[in-house]
Amino acid sequence: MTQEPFIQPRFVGPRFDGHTLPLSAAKDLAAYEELVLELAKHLVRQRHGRVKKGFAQGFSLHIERIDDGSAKPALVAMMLGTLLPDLPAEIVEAKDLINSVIATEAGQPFPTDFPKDCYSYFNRIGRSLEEGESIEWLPDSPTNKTVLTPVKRKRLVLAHRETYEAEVNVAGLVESLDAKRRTGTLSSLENQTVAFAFDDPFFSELKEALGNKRLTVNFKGIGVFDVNDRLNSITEIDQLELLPHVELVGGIESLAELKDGWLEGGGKAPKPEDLSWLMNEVVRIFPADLEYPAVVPTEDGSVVFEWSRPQARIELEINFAEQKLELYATNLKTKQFVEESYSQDGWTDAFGKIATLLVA
Amino acid sequence: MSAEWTPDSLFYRQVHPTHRKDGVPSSQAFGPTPKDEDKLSVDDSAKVSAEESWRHFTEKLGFQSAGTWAVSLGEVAEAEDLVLEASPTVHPQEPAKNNPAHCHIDFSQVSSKGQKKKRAQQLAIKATARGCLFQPSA
Repeated sequence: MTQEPFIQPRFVGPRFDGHTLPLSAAKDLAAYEELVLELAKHLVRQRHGRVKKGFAQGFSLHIERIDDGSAKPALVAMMLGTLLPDLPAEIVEAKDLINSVIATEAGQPFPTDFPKDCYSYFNRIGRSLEEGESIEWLPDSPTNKTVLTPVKRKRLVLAHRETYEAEVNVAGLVESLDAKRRTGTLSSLENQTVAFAFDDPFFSELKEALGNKRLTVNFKGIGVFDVNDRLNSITEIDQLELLPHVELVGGIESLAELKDGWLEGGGKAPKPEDLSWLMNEVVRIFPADLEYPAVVPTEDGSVVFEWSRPQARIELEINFAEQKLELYATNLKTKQFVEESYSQDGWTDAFGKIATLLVA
Repeated sequence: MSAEWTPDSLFYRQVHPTHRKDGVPSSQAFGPTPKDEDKLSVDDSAKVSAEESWRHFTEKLGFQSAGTWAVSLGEVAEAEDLVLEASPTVHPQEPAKNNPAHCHIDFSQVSSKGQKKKRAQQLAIKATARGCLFQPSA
């Protein structure tokens, strides 16, 4: 059974080129459905003073199919599971009014009959859009395709509020946890304290990270931002990842940017597979209580971990070519020089020796 | 070795940005690498300033440097078996690259990698204690 779609928006962007819709986009459409219904009720209330019992009862939008170009979900209106041939007028007016709001460009006045409270729906409509993506709500219109972009979505939400919601991907250290309230605070890598709320499944990992300066958490979820795009809080965590030794791993990872010739025309770039192995080793075995070293590339493509003291230098060269760890340490105060070599899996012995040299 | 040099004479060393962390230069910057053929390039402070040394290295030669550090002749001597020599560079095709202040610290009398590391670490400790003598504004 087919019917003229209620609306058929077009999702534009590389993610939609396969004519499929990510599930997160379906959330946008669900929020759109809520707005249509809420706005229609508002219009009825304006005209008749109240909304009759049963108005639009069972109304819902269904994705009937997804057409090509990029991805065009055809939304049909249903009432109690049956296709609706005749929609209440206010439902259609609500659709048109929403389109008018989305079509409003910067500097233009918003339609006056769109209620202020309804702008907050744009916290969810279009939230799945990434930079460079958009939704054309009237893709076949020759004059105004009614395009919703992440920038426009933010403007709509902020039209009558001081904050807006958007997807967030943020890393930091867990500073506090309130197990009863399911809330906590995160000190982000930019040294900003951000409150967050979490669900039960994340509790054990958050507890593990609590107060551990060497265990960074990465949240993907929904954040609340102010007009200056400053993250105020995280209201929903969808994914949580524990990242041990982020500072050290990041130092190694940054060496992947080096190209052959990086040092005055000479200098071999470290091999990606060597860096990848080293990052895994660090995550696996770097001691919890050992000071992080500087991570330094060598001319021949190896990596050196280097610890500095006013009177001492300690270097652990990870010699990829010869598959060994080489320790060199000079202490001018004790006049001691240490030179030792370990096999590539001799981390424990090497780090143990370094720990003693650091306190000498 | 120049007759005008004293133990306090300073010799500038340019440090690649990847060889500096939190303002501290790595020992890597004070040891010769295979491309140097055991000769560590430095500039004579009697002939150029720390800033001029940095400008020549980055602007004339086109290399990267996070700043200018220095070691003294006395410190080089203290490290033992290192020889400091004046070695002005001349580029007939590109005279702008000529560097009359160029010198090198010769590590060739030090046989093993470990012993070279030891001396590079000694020089790095001394240069770090002296501090960065010229750093480009960000």
